[in-house]
Amino acid sequence: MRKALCSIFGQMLLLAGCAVGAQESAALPELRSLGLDNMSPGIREQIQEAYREARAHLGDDAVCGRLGMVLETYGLLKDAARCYRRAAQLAPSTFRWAYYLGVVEAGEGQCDAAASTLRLSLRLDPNYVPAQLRLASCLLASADWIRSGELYAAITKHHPDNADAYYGLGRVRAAGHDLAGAAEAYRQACALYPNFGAAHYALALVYRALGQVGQAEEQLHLYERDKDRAPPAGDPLFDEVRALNRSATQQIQIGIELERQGRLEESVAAHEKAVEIDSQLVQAHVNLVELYGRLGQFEKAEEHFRTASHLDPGSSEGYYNYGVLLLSAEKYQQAENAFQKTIEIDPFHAGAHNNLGFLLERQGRLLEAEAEYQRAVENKPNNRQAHFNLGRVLVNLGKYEQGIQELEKTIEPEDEDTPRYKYALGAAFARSGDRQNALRYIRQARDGAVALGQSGLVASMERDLHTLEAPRTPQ
Amino acid sequence: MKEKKRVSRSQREEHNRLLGRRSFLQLLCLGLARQIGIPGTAAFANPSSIPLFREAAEEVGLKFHHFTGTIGQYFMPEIMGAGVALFDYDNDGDLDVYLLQGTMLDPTEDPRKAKFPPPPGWKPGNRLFRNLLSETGKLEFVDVTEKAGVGHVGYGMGVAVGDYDNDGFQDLYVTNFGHNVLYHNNGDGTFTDVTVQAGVDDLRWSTSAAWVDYDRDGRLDLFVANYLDFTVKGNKQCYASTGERDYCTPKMYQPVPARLFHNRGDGTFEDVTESAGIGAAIGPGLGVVCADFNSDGWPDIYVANDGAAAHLWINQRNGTFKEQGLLSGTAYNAEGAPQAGMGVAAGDFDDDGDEDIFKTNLTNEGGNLYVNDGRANFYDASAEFGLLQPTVPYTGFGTDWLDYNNDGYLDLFIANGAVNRIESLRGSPYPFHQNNQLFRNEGDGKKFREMTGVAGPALALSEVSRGAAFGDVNNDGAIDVVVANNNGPARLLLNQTRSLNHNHWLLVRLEAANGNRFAMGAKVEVRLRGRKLLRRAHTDGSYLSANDVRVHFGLGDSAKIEKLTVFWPDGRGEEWDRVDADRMVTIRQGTGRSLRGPG
Repeated sequence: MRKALCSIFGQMLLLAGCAVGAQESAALPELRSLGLDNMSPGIREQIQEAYREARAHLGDDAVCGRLGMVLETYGLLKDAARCYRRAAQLAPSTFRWAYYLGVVEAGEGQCDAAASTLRLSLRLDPNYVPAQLRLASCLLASADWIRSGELYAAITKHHPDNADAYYGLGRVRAAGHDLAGAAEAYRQACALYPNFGAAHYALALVYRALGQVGQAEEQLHLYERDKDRAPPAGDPLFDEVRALNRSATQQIQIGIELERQGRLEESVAAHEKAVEIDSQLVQAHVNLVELYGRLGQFEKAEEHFRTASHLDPGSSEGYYNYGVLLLSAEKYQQAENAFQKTIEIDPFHAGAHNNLGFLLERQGRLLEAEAEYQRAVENKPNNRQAHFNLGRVLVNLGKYEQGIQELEKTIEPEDEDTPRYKYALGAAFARSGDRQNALRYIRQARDGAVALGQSGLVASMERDLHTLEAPRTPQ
Repeated sequence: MKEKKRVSRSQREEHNRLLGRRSFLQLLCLGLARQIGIPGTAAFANPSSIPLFREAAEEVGLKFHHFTGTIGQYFMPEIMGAGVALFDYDNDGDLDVYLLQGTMLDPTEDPRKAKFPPPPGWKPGNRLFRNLLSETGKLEFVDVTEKAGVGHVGYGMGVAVGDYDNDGFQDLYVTNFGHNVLYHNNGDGTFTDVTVQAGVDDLRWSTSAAWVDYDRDGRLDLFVANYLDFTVKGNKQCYASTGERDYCTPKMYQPVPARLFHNRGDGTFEDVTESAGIGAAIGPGLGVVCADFNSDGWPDIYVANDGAAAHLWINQRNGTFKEQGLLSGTAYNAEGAPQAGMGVAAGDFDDDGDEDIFKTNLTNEGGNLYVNDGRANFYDASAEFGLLQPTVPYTGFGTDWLDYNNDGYLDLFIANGAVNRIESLRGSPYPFHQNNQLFRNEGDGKKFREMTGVAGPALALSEVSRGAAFGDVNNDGAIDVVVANNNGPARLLLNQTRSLNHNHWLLVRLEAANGNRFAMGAKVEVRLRGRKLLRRAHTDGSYLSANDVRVHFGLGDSAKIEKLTVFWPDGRGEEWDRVDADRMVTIRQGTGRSLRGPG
């Protein structure tokens, strides 16, 4: 097994050998000075420091390579590549410089160059799996199916637990229209890493091509669940580059990712770190309003709202998040003001219109509430809650036909909220005097609620059904 | 998200120069190969001295400079526009040009205070340029905006062209960041703003729009893509990875819904967004193209969303649509990742009788080539056809399939320009410029060949291109391109390949009998030597722009078409035998041999 892997790398390294020769004879790339004026101070200092070090030790591959890493982490790829190229020439036997250079070249869409560089790196360390995967991916992007497939196959043989390699193998097979083979590889990738969004997506498309629509839809459902998830890269060298990033925006990105995973406290910590780096970063404060609100820390949320609105009085999101916070704290008048302010800045903010409608409705200002719900629906026609609210208020205004039309839009898709929406629709029919449809929808709602174990809702529905089903007194 | 990785201009130029040399040699070899081995295509002649395209805007009077009104606040609309239309507004047989203009986003500000003030002689508002070709025999444009009454002063984004009232004159729908405008073509060289009475205004940030007769009642309906809930008052501060101020990504704002307006036939429209199902999915829409993707005879709608899943609205043939982007395989790229979709093109590039899609995206993403199996099941074949790697370094916008060399294969043009600062252009006053790209379809399932490097100086221009409109501006049988640059001059790329080869061509103007006068959506099929070429009458696609509605065919070395078939938008089909090449023909519904059964 191992022999096969070595044989494939051997073929590739033959080509890499030429590249080494060419590089050895080339002149060292100069270290270019950069215009750093507008960068944020922390980043500028970090780059300047790395640059000074590199200039002071022109023959030192480590400091030159480190400058490349710093530049790469801030997206300055061309300059990073130059540093890596120089470092690789200074230390031709050091794996990481060639690897980093290959990664940057691949990222810039120069797959031919990247493939050549990655082959060179694999000559220095044939066992670094992330480099093997990146090379295979580059070959795939260049439509070199054969070599890419061989490489992925070799990785799966050597590392049968590598989901990425199976996924890549599936893509190569799919490109070659070997659908059964592709499905097999994708299934293996999903088995190894069940939350592998991209593999579920790819498997869905293969099932679709095979005419297996049910299985395709099942896989698409899994993809929707896991669309942002992939196996851990397991690339410590690349992690080192990422770890150099000291920007506030990077911290926000980390915080957003943590929030997505439901890790709210860690998300707060990342956002607070962003604020520590750059206290003027409005987005960090705006996000913290929401995060602290969800954690029930009202005072902290309010503090960040004040900072955000001071820094950027035009942040509709800041006002909206604050409004939601106030609403949850039952500070209705202040919440109303916050939503009004949101709408003043962003008249298309569906959420603010919806919440404002709710606040107006609870004050009995039904016509104004209707108008707000209407605007919420116009700006987000697929907002089920807004349709529900609009339908409900229309029914309360005696506009049964319009109200029922709105409520009918809420009964799909089937999920845990559907019984509640069907119940509301049934009740609207009941109020309009349409007993038959009222019974129909409330029964459907009850059956749904029973299936979902929503006992409180079931009891309420049973009571209404009992009333509706009772024989009517002759007039 | 920000553009994570930047591309060096000098590196790219160096790459293109190298590519240019390499491709030139390959071009010579290929020309020879075609001469001896591949039927249907004449050989290239003297490719060394004549560029494929020549930039001629100013020379022919197409003097237009796009103004963004930027004052350094990084308002998103500044970097997104604008578009251009190629259409024959006066029905004199040649293509006129309509260009969208920006203004100060804060109307109280003086344009002279803008970071890039307008050039001397600049006129505010959109501009209509009349082509004098038919009148004088010379390609020359004159600005007729004031006379025509189409100089709307707003923050112009896009334009859609279609004859919504079937009076035989094409009308204009103009999208803006702000109120949109419907200009009715009066047929006497003037237009009237009928937005309010027609009921097609939209206050949201509208981008591309398309006229489409989705219910096949003979009247063009209107689809309007909307983008984000950005407002000047709510402008957010965004930063590049280095901490420098930059334009925000679409993720910083909420998407706003597209709208579908049904044409009632009395000059008014009904907003059917919700009842038609279009409101079921919302995305930050940019590019729109309408075509019959599942080959059922009814037009579907594909929308490129920026940083989100693209939407494929499949026509349910009952006045409603279902969004099937995910299952169709056109929502995401091959890896199931959403991309920053900008421009779109639909066309049968692989000659298998269905509409394939090309979508332009952000730097580092590469374009998507979605190959159709005829039933609206697609797969992303951008790597397979060589369109992935060459497009990765660019942010693509306007695009379309065009047979630029009349060899019978649909080639591809992409207008490029970044939306976030390009790191390697640090120090440049407007660090977003990139060169546009041209790809030649080598046919028979082969990879596309990038021709940018050998296309001549016009394709070496590095600008911030957005809209691109395609059509035969000088009626010489070769497709030209008008490129609308952001914060720069409009460009007219005149196709020079008629001097380079002897390939034949045909330009077809359709006249439908049962409404939808210009037969938008009709499929025209040409049979020659065992090949079937399928093209669609359309003005939509690309980015914020409208194309020549005439249907163009490159015919290689075939001087005669064995059979020409038209599948009209009302579902009927007709055919004509032995049509001569190298001319423009008008084909009227009802003058051909009927095909059995509806299409």
